[in-house]
Amino acid sequence: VSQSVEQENGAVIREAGTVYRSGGRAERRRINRQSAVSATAPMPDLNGDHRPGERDAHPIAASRLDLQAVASVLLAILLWVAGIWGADPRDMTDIGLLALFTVPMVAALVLLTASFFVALRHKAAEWVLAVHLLAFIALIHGTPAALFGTVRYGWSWKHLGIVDYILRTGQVDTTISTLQVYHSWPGFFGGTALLTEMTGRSNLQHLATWTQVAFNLFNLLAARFLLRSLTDDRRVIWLGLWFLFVTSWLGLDYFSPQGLAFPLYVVLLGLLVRAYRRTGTTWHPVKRPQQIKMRPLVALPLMIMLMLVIASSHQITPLMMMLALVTACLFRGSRGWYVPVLAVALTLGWAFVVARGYTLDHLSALTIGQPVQNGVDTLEKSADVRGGQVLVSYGGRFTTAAGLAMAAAGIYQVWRRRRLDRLALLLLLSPMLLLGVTEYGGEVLFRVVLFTGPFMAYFAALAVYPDKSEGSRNRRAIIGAVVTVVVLPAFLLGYYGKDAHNYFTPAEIKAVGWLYDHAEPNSVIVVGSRNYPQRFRNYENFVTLSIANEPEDSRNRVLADPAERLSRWLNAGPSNKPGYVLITRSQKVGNDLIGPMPIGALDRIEQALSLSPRYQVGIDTGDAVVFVLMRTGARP
Amino acid sequence: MGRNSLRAVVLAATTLTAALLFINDTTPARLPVALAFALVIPGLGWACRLRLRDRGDTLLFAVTISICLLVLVGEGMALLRLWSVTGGFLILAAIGALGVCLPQPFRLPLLSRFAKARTAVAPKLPPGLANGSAGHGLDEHLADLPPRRIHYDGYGGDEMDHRADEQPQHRTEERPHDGHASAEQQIPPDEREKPATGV
Repeated sequence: VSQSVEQENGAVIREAGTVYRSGGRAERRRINRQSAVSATAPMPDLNGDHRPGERDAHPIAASRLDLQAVASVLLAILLWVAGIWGADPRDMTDIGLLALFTVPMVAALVLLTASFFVALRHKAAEWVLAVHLLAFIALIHGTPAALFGTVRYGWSWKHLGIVDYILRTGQVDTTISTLQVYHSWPGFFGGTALLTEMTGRSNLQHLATWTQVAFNLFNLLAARFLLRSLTDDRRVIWLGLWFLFVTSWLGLDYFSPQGLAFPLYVVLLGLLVRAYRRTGTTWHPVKRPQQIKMRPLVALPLMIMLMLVIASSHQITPLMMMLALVTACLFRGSRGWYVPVLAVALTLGWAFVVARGYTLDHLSALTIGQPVQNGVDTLEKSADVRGGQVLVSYGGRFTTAAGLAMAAAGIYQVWRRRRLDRLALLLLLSPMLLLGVTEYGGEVLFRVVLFTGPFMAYFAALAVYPDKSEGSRNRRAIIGAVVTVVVLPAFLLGYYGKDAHNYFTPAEIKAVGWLYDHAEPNSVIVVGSRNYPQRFRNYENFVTLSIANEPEDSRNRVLADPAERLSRWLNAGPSNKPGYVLITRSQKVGNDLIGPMPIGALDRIEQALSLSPRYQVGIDTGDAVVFVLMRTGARP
Repeated sequence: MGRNSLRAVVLAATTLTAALLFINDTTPARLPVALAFALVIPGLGWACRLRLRDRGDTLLFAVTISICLLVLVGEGMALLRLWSVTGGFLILAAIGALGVCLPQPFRLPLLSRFAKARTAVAPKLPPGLANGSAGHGLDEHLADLPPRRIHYDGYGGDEMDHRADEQPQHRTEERPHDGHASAEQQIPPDEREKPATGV
């Protein structure tokens, strides 16, 4: 064992159990006695800053370093704000928000990264490291909310529609024909509806706009709890957290059940590690973190509550929860057989009792035993992208690949030192099992990456700090910083790259709101694509058809004669109701970037309808237009 | 945070939110107040009862428990078609109040016998084990002991840390947490082991 420790009262160096120090024989005997005691004692808690080192030796210098770090963070925030100030989200190009980046913004990220690793190298206090992460979250995830001022992602808007439904009717309907899945797992929506009622109904869109920041702060706390359950090395904990946020490019932290269920899942695993870790049968002995263990009696009620909320709020997270807990127990990573049994019972109980209508209708959607095909389905989703979106697609993939490579290096490092933690490894690998169960609408690979994230970050941090030795501190900090500098551009591409079509202007929202307020119940609404602020109000009253989601031959017929073909679609609805066609800016941008129709197709449709005498313009806000097809007996 | 301060915080936040809610206030103050109440207060007392040593973890559990309660109450009312914002608020407020008003588990009559048994056994245990709330408690010690054979070869340092964990008789002084002194701290100072400060 090689360990060197500096102490305040002189140079005390301990190597391989030998203590050298200038001083008398009695003094040496006293030190040897103390070292014999300390050798049998647990390592001091790093989180409590009780490990002797240069911080203890030079408290004033340490405080100065802390202040410098905080000043650097403030400067980075100022640079970022100055860089983005006055930017117009309409100027985004095919690489999304990245097109609006300026030199001060890049400098801000470089400064923040450098400051974080300097702080880590000097073993800064935990709050200093936390300030860096908070700043990173505020800058990266707060910028779209502040700059756009509207809810990001088209699919967030239909989640608002479910909350709107609960607020209007005071209930959910598990037999409803449209968006039944959300009514069958209504936890997130019920909670949001209650929160909205308490804060005021007019605040719903504000809450949804800032949800990403809130969920990421929640993720930070949850992931810190999990990593502190796995190790007591503060460097690994905070570097792991840094890697987690620098590689989380998926954007699954938006206003959605998944956004809520993920941090809850992380907390659940943290509780599992703290209360149910099996220490006697690991492949290699691991150090058990001090002072964080929980009694199963304390942890179990919390775990049951978390399982119930996860099981009632989402579809794939409960599946992941079952897989993780069963895997951990089956391969003897954790004890407590009743924990996975409870998870299975709650998940299946909810699916086959409350959500039985949806579950029984969609059992055939489970694609068990086709892991390769399920993975390929996800990759194929980005097969039709164009221009800068190709780069965006590769940016995300590179970020994940780099994270996995670092994690593999970390696993090798700790395996070589006979410190590989079986439970952490099992929980890292268990999301892969999802590939063998479902394709999840062609998104399962994204979910695998999401659930792997915290453990990938943990092992990636272990690649830099595989043990507690104090040597090579500069080299290790530089390695971490270099990895960040390599990964960060790819992360930014993956995370911000699609914002050109994830952004919705207030004018678009106004037009869509007008449509949902004025269209008569049971009307048919034809939309260019689903990339618009969709179904956020009175959604159950309308039948919505998307041109982009039709089969290719059907799309081609529409493009050949839009006015005539869309009239036929709209005439299929109730005869005494007007039909509506909605074309928005975001639909056009989305189609031009990721297809599936030719570039400019929606512009041509809009032009054709505006020239047709059969259609009237209901509202035109500049960014969106609603055409109304008047029919005999229909009221405008 | 002491119990009385905790009660004061929960009471103040609940009263303020109730006032804003029941007078149907539309000022900008309602959003932050109601948000802070809904996301922290119902779980705050319960999180503090966990006696976690870390403030970040305590905050995490205050938020986690509050969000879980918000979800369960909201979806319960929606599924049972009993939607009522007043009812939902009152349930959350009641659970939050219970978290700070209920006596500690070992002060309940049913569990007091067990607590007494612990107190009787504790002096015979190695130092540090009587402090059950932090994790290194009697039940865990007993659960861990039978199947495990403890080796100790006299070497210290990093590689032996996991074995050191399982040598409770050598456990050194632990810091008090949340204001509750551990049993070890009740030992006179001269009888305590020296704190392990490196070498």
